[in-house]
Amino acid sequence: MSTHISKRTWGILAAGVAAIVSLAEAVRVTEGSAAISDFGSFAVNGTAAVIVLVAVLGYAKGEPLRLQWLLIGLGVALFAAGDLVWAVYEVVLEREPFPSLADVLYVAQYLPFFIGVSLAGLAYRRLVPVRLPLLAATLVASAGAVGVYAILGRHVVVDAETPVVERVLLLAYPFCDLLLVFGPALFIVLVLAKLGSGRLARPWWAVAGGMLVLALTDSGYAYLDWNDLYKPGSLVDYGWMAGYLLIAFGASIAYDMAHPAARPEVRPAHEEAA
Amino acid sequence: MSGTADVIKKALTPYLGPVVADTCVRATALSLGKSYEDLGKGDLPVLEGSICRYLSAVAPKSVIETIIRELQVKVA
Repeated sequence: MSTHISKRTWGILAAGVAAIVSLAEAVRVTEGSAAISDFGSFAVNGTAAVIVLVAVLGYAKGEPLRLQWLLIGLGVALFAAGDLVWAVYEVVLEREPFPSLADVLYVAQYLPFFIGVSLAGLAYRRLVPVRLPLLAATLVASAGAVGVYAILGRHVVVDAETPVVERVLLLAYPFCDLLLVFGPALFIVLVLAKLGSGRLARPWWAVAGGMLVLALTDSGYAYLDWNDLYKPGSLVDYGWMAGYLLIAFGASIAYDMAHPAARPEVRPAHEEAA
Repeated sequence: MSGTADVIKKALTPYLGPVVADTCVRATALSLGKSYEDLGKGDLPVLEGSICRYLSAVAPKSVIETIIRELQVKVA
């Protein structure tokens, strides 16, 4: 039975995995080259942004799905832009400012992600109940935020040696991840669970998976960075790439659905019964 | 069981899954003041409009057109 996912889309997933693995090996062989790590990350995440934005063009103006994917593509593009800025800082200028323009771009990605995925979940309100998934996702994300505060936040808040702006940013990432990324991802998962194997859900399963990976990765990075354990080429670097690759995979599945390879043959019911 | 309702449900199931497809058809029947079993060929124009409304926010135009075409061939 056809999965209705094109070879091109499977190729995007395979190429993405190969790129991430190759990059990890290149960073390992060069003993943590920031140039390879930073520019490689931009290449992977930038490509993911392009794939999502190409999917946007597959919808006509005014189609609700166009806005949903445009916002998600904007989120990915902002992160990729942050990657490029950071690469220039670290590799070309040999500086590691915090906060920097890269952080502005990284933080800017959260709002379009939140709005795009939330719109996608709410779009199903005529077909499935959405209030309970919305409530559950909000409660779980909020509980997670309380947990982050307990583990990390309360230490950061009272650290007088760290400038206020840095402390705000250090906390902004994990809290935004939980409330603006994990929360909507959980919401859409709970909504889509009603659709089971329905094809319309497939792109969003991939997006939700990607967003969950991003939220986990960001929390992991915040923990490592606070404890001075992070270095270029750490596992978390590949978590970001894996997350955006999954989102791009979802966008490509959506593109396949909007542009089927061939119109399926439809036969009258009495011919099918014969 | 009504043939028309089953045909519509069968057309929607690949995209929405069986449970939501069933809910969609029953909700449409209810909006017409009918039961699932009472839906017939004469309800097709209203059914098409209803399906377009349900799917317009979640499905691309090509999918909606495919479903409508399937209903027109199999129900009409």
